[in-house]
Amino acid sequence: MAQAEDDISETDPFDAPVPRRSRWILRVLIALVLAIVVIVTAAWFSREQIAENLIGDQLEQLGLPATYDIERVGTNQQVLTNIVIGDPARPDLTIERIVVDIDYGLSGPIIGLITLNKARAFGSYRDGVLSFGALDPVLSRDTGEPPALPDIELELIDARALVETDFGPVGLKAEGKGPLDDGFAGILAATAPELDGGGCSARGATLYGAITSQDGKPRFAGPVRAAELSCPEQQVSVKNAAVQIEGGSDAGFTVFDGEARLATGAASIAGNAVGGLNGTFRASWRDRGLNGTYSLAARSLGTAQLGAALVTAEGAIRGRDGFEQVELTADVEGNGVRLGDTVDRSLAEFTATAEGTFAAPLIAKMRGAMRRESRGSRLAAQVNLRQSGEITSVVIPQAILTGGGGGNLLSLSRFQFSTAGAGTPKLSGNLVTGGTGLPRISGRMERSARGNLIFRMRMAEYSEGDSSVAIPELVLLQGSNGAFGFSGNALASGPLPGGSIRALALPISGNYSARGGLSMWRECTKVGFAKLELANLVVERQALTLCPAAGQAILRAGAGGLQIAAGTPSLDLVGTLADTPIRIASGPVGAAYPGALSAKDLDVTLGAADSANRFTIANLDAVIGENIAGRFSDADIRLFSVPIDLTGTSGAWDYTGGVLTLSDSAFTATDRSEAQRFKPLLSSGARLTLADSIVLASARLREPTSGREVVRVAIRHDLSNASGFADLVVDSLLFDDVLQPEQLSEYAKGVIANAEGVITGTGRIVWNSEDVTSSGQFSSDSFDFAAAFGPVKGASGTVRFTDLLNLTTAPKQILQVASINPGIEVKDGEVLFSMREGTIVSVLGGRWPFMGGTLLLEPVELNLGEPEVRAYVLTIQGLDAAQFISQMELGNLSATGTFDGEIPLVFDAMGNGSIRGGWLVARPPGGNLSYVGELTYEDMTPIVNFAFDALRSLDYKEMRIGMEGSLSGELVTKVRFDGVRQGSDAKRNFFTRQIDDLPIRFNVNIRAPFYQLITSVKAMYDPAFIKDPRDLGLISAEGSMTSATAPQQPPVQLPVQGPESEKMP
Amino acid sequence: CISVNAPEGPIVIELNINIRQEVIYRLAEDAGNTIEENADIF
Amino acid sequence: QRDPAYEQARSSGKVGEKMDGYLGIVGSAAPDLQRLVNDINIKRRAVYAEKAQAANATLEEYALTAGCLAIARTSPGEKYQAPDGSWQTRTSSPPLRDSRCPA
Repeated sequence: MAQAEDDISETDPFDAPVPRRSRWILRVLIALVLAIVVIVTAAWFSREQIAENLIGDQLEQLGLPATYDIERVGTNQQVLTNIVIGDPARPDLTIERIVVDIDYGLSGPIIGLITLNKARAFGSYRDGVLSFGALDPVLSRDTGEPPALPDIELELIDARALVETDFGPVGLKAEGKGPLDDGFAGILAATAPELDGGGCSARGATLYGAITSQDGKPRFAGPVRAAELSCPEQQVSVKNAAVQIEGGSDAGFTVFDGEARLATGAASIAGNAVGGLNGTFRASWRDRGLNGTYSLAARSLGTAQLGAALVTAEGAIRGRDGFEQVELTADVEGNGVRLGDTVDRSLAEFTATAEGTFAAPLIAKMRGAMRRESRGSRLAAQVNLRQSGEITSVVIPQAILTGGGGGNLLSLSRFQFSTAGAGTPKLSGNLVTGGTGLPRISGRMERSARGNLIFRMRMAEYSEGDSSVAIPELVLLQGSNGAFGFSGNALASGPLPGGSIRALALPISGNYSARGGLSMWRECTKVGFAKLELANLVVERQALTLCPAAGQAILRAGAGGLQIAAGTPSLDLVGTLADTPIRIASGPVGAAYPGALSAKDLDVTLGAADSANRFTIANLDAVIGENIAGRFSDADIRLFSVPIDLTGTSGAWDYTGGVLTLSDSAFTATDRSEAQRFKPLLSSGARLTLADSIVLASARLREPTSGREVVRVAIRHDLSNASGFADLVVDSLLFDDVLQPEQLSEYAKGVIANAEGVITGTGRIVWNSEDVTSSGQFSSDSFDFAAAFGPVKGASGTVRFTDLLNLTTAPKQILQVASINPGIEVKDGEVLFSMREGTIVSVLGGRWPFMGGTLLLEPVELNLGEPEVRAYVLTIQGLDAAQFISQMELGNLSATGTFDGEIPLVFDAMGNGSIRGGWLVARPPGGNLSYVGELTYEDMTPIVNFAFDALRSLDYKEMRIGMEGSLSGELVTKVRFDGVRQGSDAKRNFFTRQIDDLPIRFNVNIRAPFYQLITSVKAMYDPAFIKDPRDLGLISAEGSMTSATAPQQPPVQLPVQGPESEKMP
Repeated sequence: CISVNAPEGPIVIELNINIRQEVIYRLAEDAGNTIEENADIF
Repeated sequence: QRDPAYEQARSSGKVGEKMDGYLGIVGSAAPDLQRLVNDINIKRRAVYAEKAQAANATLEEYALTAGCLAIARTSPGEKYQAPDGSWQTRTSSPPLRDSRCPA
């Protein structure tokens, strides 16, 4: 008997992790043993009362405090009723009626059949001790013989017991008849509505079965049911479990064996759900050791990793020293095996995060293939589990999961998994995956010399459409502390966000630990690729060395989320941008995600070598997020076809949706040609966008010192055919003392000065890969400037340029000129001209109203670039003498007659103009010349007086004026009158009358400054016009001649009858 | 003096007037002011 | 307040005052020195044209008068053109000038 108790106390739940369900079955066995014990005691107790009041004597002999009524004590039958044993208030055992048949054998009375009617026993099972109160001494008496069933013939009618256990009350009921040790047959029923203990609880547990005994060996057969079993700690819960038990023990209670058929409803164990469990166990228990075989079938198994329609397992289980050592073998079969929900969901999440990369289609294909393959898939595996004490090891010699399509999805061989208490588990074994549409991975796990795990893995190329990944080699090393280190390399191709990559060769290195999370690439890694495409940028056959920040890893994924930070000491990539060759070189470049990108000394060459656009950027930074946006500074931009360099550029840039935008950028625009046609201009707030290989740019260019806007530029350039145009707008550019032409172009200096006025105009430069053409037109309403030939005022009109860049105008440009003063101011002129190369000016003609007639400038060609002698020819038509006189405000003179003539002008390099052989001829019939002022000059010679007297009034038929000399200086004028007759109001005197009708030819050579000619004539009759000599410093204050004034000028010679006057031309 | 005879052709009176007046003195003061006013180009 | 490049050209004797009232280049004419002198002379001419017209004198006379005064006010070390046309370096003593120049 004692041994049984030991069994109970010892079978505390053993901690074999795998066969969790068998622990619970043992509990049920315990309840079974308990019941047997109760029956045995009842039987044992009644046997002794047979002789006379055998029972009563026996009771006293056993020292059991009992009260009873004797109904009848017959010779061959004794009947006792109302037996109460133990404390009458709380009896341990009450029996309503005991009938004992007495047989007489050789040795006296022999107890025959004992019939117990309505026995009621009350016991308790506290902390492992079963006690029936007063009956205990009897039950635990040591009979000296080995424990065995007593040979009593017994009949139990409605025998019941109530045992208060630590786990909850258990009600027992027994019926049955026959000799206990051999041939007893009865029914045992036990119910325990609520059992709680050891962290588990059972609801509605019942046991019902037949009890028999054969040759001293008791047997029990019948179902044990429980409506619900659950152990929250181990997350185990089983619904309506039923175990059909068929078992018993040997006579000495040392060997138990039995068979159990299990059937449960829905169960879940540690998160793995099972639709239902059915199984049969055949086990025997001997010398504290269990030996048994089992077969188990689980329907619609759903674990985190795997789901299966049906999984069956058959095998043997062996436990020694009370489950100190457990061995379990299992042949597992399964079909309809599919991915566990969590694995499927995480694959789905991974597909979402990898959206737009080559990984997404591959994972989607894998999930699809797995789902397809799992329909009709079959699993076959052998599993050996061995546990001794702390160490558990699982060996799977062979496990093959075959897909619906027939291919082996996963085959594990020589797989070993062992844990030693708290340490991380050790793994080893080989793994090969396959199956149609699934990646083919082959891996080998082995133990390194120092005892930690090495897992070598290879994955053949797995592709879908143009995405593919291959892992030629990956080695995982599990360190003693359990963290994994891995290294290897991968080949990948396929789409990337905004582009694609082909034949990316990516070395892999990093480590993973539960605590530290994943970190990859701790040293510089050389990444190569055959072809990288980002938007329209294509880079081919390049390699890039990516380095982590000091002491860090390039990629970290862990609690803090995903962080990537890599840098490269320099970049040198060659490729094409929208089919235009591009070369990107740089100094150190660093990028972090999330975070910023920064690049130093970026040098981008865009376009074929001979027509390349250059972008050199000193530093560039950006924040990488939805889009990439940041600033750049100190950049020089050289567009090949636009002869303007942008230097010192800085501003903001943004790359979103394939569109690159530079905004708010300031730069200095300089003329690239050495001729430096224009001086550097500043810009701020310029914008540039590059999308689909079209560059659109707009900027306002300002003159640096005055800050005044000079021109607004809008550029459109098509990278794919290197063609485009630039529109220039000059919107009322004001020239004044703040802004002069020389500040815009070095060329203007020494050509044009003192500019005053507003210029407005537009220009357009058009280029393609071959040539550049430009045109434009500029106009002004009133523009003053000083030029080499003197100041010009009020120039207005529009000049059209056919080649703006080289300052070549269209032919016949017309400019109105309010006044021009090369020495003599000429007003309201109109000049017809064209200009070539900004230097060759061909004047097609100029026209000025002049003294009633017109002054015409004959066509002439000037080279502004070179200081040269310039010859012009002025033609005078219809000069009206009267107007000439009045315009010159020669009040006392009057003249009539119309003159025509020609004045050839020559301007020296200094800009001094002189007349060479100018002539004016009066038109027939001539006219009249008369002088109405007095003649006050006394020192004139008589002939002069005569001449001027004659001038009083002269009619002339012909007058010819010759002019020679410097326009701005001394001019010799030869005046020749012909057919001269005294005018009507001439002073008649003796002298004049004689010659009255004589034809007189008057040759007057006036050698005086042209201007002075006029002024002196004026001076002659207008004293106010002469300044006071004193204030001119000619006469000292006291009135004496200052020495300096002594005229050294030769006296006026007046050859009366000089040589024949020069021949008039 | 003048020889007067009944010439066959027209009487040719050759008259050379050579007016050369020293205006430099007149302008000295004016020019002086001009130089002061435009000192940047003198 | 002369333009620094002009001031430097004067003080280093690269340019000098001519008798005719304009600036002349002493020695070789580098392009930008030529441009500087042209610019100064254009501006002087514009002033002469305007002042001569106002003073009823010829541009040449006005320029000559200004020339006399400009040479008179050259500071020592600067260059000026003597009546014989040669370039002289101004010393502390009065410069050699055209007889017609006023005092």
